[in-house]
Amino acid sequence: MFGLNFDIKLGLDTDGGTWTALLFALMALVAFIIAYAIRSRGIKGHKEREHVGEPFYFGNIVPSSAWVKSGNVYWGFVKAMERYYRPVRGEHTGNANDYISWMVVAMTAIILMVVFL
Amino acid sequence: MMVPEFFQDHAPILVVILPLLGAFLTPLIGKASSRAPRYVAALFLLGSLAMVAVLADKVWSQSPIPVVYTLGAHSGSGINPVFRIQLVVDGLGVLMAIIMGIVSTAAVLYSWSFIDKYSGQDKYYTLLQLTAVGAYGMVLTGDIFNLFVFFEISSIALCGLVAFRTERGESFEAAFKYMLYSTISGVFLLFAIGIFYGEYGVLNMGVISEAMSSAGGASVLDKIALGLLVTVFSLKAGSVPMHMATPDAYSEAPGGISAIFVAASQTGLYALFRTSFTIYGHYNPNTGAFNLDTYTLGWIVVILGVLSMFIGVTMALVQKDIKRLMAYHAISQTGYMLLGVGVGIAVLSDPAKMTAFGVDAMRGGIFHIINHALYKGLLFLTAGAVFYRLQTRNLNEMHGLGHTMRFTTVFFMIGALAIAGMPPMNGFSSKLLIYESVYQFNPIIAVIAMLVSVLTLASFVKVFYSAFLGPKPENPPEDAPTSMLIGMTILVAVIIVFSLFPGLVVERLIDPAVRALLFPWLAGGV
Amino acid sequence: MLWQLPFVVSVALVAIGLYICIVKTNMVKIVMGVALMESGANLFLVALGYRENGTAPIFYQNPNPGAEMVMPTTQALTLTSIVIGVATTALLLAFTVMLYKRYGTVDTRRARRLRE
Repeated sequence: MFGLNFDIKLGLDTDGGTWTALLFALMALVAFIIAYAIRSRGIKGHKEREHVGEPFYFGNIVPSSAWVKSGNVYWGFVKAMERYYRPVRGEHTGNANDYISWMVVAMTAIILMVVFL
Repeated sequence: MMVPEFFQDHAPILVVILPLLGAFLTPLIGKASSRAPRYVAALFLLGSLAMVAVLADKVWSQSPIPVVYTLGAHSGSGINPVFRIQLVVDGLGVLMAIIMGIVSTAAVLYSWSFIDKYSGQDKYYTLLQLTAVGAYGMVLTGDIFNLFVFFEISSIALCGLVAFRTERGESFEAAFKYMLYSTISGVFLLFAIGIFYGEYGVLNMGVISEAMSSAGGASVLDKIALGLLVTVFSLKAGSVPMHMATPDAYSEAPGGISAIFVAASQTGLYALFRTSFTIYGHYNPNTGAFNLDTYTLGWIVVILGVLSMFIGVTMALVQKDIKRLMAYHAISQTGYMLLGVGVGIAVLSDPAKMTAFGVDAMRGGIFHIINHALYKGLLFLTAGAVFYRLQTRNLNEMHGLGHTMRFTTVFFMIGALAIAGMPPMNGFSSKLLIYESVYQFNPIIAVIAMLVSVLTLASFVKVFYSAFLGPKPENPPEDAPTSMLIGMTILVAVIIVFSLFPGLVVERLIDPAVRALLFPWLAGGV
Repeated sequence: MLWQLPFVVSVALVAIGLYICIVKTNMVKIVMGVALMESGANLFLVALGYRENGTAPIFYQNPNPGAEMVMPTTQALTLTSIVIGVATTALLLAFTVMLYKRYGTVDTRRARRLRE
């Protein structure tokens, strides 16, 4: 069944060459082992949770439990792209009538393109 | 392994019939025992998956010639496709069936725990199996009217499932919008079918393309029908600008259903490629002409793809709801598939370009379909696990889930790396094929595709950071229940196999699908 | 020509239905528009199969055997499509009822908590 003959082809031939995921995974593993070996040579007495993130608070008191809420992540990106985001988000009105209008607009455009181009 | 001849012969219809039988058995058995429906659903969907395996073996052994199963007639006895309903299964159809089989099995196991506390479980499992029926039927049938019927079956069942959580008004809103979209698109699909029937008097897709070819190519009416079909099927697949209801429905559906939703939406892509290649891309070796110069059609599909990619990912970046964010990514990833195969459609009539990069683009696009169904299914399942423990989908209210939900975190990481196209995950292999070939088609589009990939990674970093990292919450939730973990593990296992052996997967699974689409082209000896 | 009238009517029905779906904000009216569109598609199919002076496509009691018969396939398609239409309309109306219970409105401008 399935005509398996176990000459497993490892690489994926693309236009520019061959992509062998297994080789990549193997190299990543080797790199990880090397990194781990270097890491294990570090100071033993270091406490893991000490002084984490303190440089970012510029000497202020570090809050014991703080995290950036997801709504604030990429705030700068969204702000910079505001001219793009305002119309695009504005079009997602959630109104069922608008949904149908968009469908009709797209359908008209596609039919016109297919027939006349 | 020997498969009895009965199953060998009737595998195509058994794939569709088994979940249908299960769907009608489920409510009956649910009267006797409230726990029985889950086992019935799992049993029949597994049986269907087994039948898909039998069918796949048969199809691949005779690829690219499709397996034809005629309903109500013995094979070989007076089969006239004009009067008979046929199932025509080729490499692409069987690939889509495999996707649906794997994802529905994982999702039904996942649902055991997920909806344990809800009433009406028999209805849930009935609708779940009907969704599978619709998707299987759509990809296996050779008859365009049956395609419409299965299209509606899967839409109706999915909308019922979206509205499953009756305590929320939002789920009804989402179900109403999605149902409105799919009903109206169904009307236009019916119109296109009527146009075909009025012109050629047949409903079998292969016969329609032959008839169109002997009539000297596509007429204006055929072109209008093509416009209707492209709109309807890209709507089903959730492409911009017909994507509006997709995030609503994906995010309101219960956890396991969102995963099935992805696989069921991709039948829209299947139907789009089927009409583009089999009906309109038909090559007539006598006149040396195609039914339609597919260059414009290809560009339309490419434009839809680029719009979906970019608008999908940028909208995903600003979402606060974890499942809605993933739903926008589903739109964005659909763009890659449309792009890959759209390039193939555009260069269909140009043999030099087709062999140079068109085939690779189609391989990438079709490989991305199965990759996306797997990793997006997995991501939706992890999001469902988070919702199951926290009862919220708002990312602002989550932090530090990685401390206790260990398996879910690891599974989420695997899915997120795969969707972002990080090597060595499977998403990278398919995106690599798409980038390389699209770059030769149009460099700017390839650059947009890579940019979208970066933004995808960025938004999943956001989810990973805000949901799973951070300080330990006050009441740390337990990890997901066992059945949900099993469902996720199935998808993870398949993803890892696909990641490590992309060459093998492309050769065995994807190439038959590409050959099936290009079959008339290859046979014509262009 | 007169025999093309059914096609004109079917397209008009679909156009009216689409207009209702785009312009009317009451969900019940939108469902009515969808039902109109479905009727338009059904009329289109039946009109395709009609033959002038055709009889019902039943062989064994055909009064004049040489006469033309209307095409049975499209009528079968229409029956299927009517059944599907009933299912979708019922489901849409059920969603509307439940939406009214939860939101207290059937106005599409107000029933839009899912957006952006």
